[in-house]
Amino acid sequence: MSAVTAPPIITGWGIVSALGTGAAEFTEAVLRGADGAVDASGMFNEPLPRNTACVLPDFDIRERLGRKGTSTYDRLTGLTVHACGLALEDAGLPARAPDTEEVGLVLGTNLGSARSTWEFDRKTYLQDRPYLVNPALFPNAAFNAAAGQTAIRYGLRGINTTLAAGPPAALAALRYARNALRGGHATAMIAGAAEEYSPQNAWLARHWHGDRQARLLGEAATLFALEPAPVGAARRGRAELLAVELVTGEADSEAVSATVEDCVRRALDLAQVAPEDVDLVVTCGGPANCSRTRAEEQALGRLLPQTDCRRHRVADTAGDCLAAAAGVQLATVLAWFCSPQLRPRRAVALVTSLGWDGAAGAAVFRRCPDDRSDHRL
Amino acid sequence: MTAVITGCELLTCFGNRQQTFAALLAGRCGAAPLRHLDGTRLGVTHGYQIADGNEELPLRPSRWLARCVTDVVRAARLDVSGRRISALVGTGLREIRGLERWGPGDLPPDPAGLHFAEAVRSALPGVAEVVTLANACAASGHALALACDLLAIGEADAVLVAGCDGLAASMLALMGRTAAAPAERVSPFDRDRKGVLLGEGAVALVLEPEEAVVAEGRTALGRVLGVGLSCDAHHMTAPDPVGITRAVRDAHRRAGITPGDVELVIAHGTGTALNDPNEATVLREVFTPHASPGPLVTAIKGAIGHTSGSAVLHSVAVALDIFRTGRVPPITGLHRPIDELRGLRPVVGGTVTAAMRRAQVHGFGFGGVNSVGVLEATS
Repeated sequence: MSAVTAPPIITGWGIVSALGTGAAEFTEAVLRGADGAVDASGMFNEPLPRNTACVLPDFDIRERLGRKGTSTYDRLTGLTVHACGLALEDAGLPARAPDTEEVGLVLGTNLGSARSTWEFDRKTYLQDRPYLVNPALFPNAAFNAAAGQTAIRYGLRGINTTLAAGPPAALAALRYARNALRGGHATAMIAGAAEEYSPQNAWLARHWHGDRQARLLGEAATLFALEPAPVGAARRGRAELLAVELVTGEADSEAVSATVEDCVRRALDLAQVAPEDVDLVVTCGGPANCSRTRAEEQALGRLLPQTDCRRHRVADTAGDCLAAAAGVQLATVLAWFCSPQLRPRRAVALVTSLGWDGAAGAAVFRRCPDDRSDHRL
Repeated sequence: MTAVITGCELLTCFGNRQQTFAALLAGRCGAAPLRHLDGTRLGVTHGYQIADGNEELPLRPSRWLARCVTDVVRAARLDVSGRRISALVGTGLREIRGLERWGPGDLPPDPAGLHFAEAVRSALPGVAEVVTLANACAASGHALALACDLLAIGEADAVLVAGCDGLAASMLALMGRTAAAPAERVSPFDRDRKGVLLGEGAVALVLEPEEAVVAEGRTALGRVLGVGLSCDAHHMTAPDPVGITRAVRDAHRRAGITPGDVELVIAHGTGTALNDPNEATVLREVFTPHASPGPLVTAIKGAIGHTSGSAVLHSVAVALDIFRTGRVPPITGLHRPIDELRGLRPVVGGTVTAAMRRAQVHGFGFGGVNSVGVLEATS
């Protein structure tokens, strides 16, 4: 495999989630089997469909990120900026110009901050004096606000893109980042996805999933530093991105099952990995009675007949993080790559994801041969 | 590998591609009082809207997108059988109007319709993937760049690259808060400009590798020589000449051209206090030392408004029509050029007839995202 087509390498990552903040804390929590569910009832004045969620009730933007430049951040931006700082630090990438001229950022999202958008609109219409709405808060209602603010914070002057997708958003971002590196738009890409918890998201998800009690929601920001193989190899590689694929199809569960199967097959083919060589599969998971969860499980059952493959469903402990779901799944892969319980050396992991619109995503990762990760337990 | 455009259809306040170009040549302005939304409350009274009868019909941008995709698939005779076709959709406001209208007791927007995959699939069954880029007003420029990359690395045999946007109250509210006085039309690069107004619309192009198109004896509408991208990392809303200049240089490098090779610029030209002098200054610095007399400069937002996610591809479509006809439409709304335009050649007052072979298209957005494309005529 030539240097040009050699798979890019994840050289660092940052996560802010109910299971932990930063790679080390999250890894420890995943391998311990920690549960991220907490009481979220005190977070907002508005009623919630369910009081328990996998969230960070004490996340305080100013406390984490200081006062400078953060006064107009909404929760989504705060989580994203924090995760990006952690990813840059973990990868040993610079966080200020001029060295960041070629560092790009691609962020997957669902609705940006649904709360910011919705509140801005309500205040405009419902307040007696609409001019009281602070215009400085407006950019939060733009879908690319978090990515723009993150670029400003760290001086990331390379390509800057926000992708709109559902749960596979982080895989869409990884794919975009890989192509941006190939297209010479950046020397390093920070790629991932973020989702904030809010009453708006909680009620939307309840409508969308149609289940009232069974699904735990979560929030997270997950960002991964992706670098071309020669550069990545010189750093501490965490995982090679062997393949990342997206396929679109019809949204009914029968079609979704076929779409995700097709997508995984394509990803494994491109990764040149046989199904029996997969050591770990990380899915979002969800209630067993959910037809979409069943559709994904059936596809995986057809594809991976072996029984010794380790399975991890993130929604059980990190919650269903909506647009950040696949990002939490990838973070979970990287956590498992630090565990001696997986096949030593070149373990292979598969991440699969279903969108709400019939899209499916699949990505194949291989532990870097010389993993000197200091998070290894 | 060079990407060529084999199909292009659009929708604006004036109608389809043919109707829109005719309106541009005639110098018409499509601005009108808002057809829906409470303008006095929002502080914005005018817009460039599509008159399709029911402004609160759900998923209007999706419907326009599907219509453009249907038309372009037919016009380009795009065949999905045995070919991998990716679809990239650029959008600023997406289907945000549905979220805004979600009130107590209402059903929220259907998640299956949020990201335009259904709209694209309805018009192009068999499409392999649909990627939605929510990159504000530069979205379709970023989509165009990704389309070229996907073709270059063989990830797709053809790429449908598109854009769409409708009006949204939250966006209008911002414009109402930041403008000194409500504008009734967009006046790009004019001393008396009052700010930007939104335009509704959609656009869809088909990109294919030039070799394949030539081998099959088909004709192309134009060539995409390169798309340069950058991020200011400076300010969320105020443009930064440094970031814009980097995108221009990146585009020229990718296109393998020098500034002297550019014959026409279709500027971003939003008619805001900050964009226009900044953009004109960048153009002067890039072009006047090299090219005498420098490229013609036109802009389309005075005619069709700021169509946000479609804006860059709307300008690309106009460039293709300029290549085809040799007629460059004037900057609608420009009467008294700002000082920063001095030394440049804005098209003012009427259409200029001149054969154009190479055009540069600008699109800058919220969050400091910049895209600059370089196009070339194929015949």
